[in-house]
Amino acid sequence: MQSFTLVVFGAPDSQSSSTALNYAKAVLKAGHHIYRLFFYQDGVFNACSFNTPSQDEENSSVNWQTLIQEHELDAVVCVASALKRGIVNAAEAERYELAASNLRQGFEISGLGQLIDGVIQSDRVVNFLP
Amino acid sequence: MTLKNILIIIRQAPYSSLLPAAALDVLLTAAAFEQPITLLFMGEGVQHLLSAQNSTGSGMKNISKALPSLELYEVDQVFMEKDALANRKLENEKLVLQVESLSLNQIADAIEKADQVFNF
Repeated sequence: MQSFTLVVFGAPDSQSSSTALNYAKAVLKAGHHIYRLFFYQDGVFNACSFNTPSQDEENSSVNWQTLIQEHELDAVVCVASALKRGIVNAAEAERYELAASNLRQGFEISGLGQLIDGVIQSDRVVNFLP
Repeated sequence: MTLKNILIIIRQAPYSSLLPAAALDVLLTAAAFEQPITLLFMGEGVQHLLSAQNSTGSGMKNISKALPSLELYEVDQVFMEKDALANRKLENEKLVLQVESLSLNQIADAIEKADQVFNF
């Protein structure tokens, strides 16, 4: 068994995000462990709870959330990338006096240190570039 | 703490995307975790080494300014792809940092030796 950290750079609907999601499922199905999912740059949009695509489209944000909750995965959203793109949890919304918070349940906001921790702790880190 | 040899490759031209700046952020964070780091500029990425850059109006950070101070973070393994500057007729340009050149074979070795590669 190997442990993986996956880094998602792409927004919902991007090849980066959907390939990473399929890869994550394949890793788990093969009996490996996912140490962390790290959402970086536009990848943070996958953690937005306001995503409401049309009914005939996949909601990759929900798909990620389902995977995260089913397997109790550690899903970290890069704080600098998130704030820049308007993805905030309740604490950040309060700190910056924003009208609402929109971080989807299952995801947490933290720093780039969590990515390097993933490098140190996992056997493999796989990047899904935009 | 476990040490991982981290190789960060920058291949994108300056101001072409957010990836080079992300590479620098990842590098500085890894340095804060005291991990052994190698930085390699390849292809269009070698243009980050050019000192005559004016980022005004690009709306983007000039990450080249940070390169001379990498030594302060104990990042002294900085390389570029051999001939990448010459292939762009840039071999006589002033650079922000003097770095050693690696042949493609040496780059293959560096990738082989690294525990983790970030390809930006």
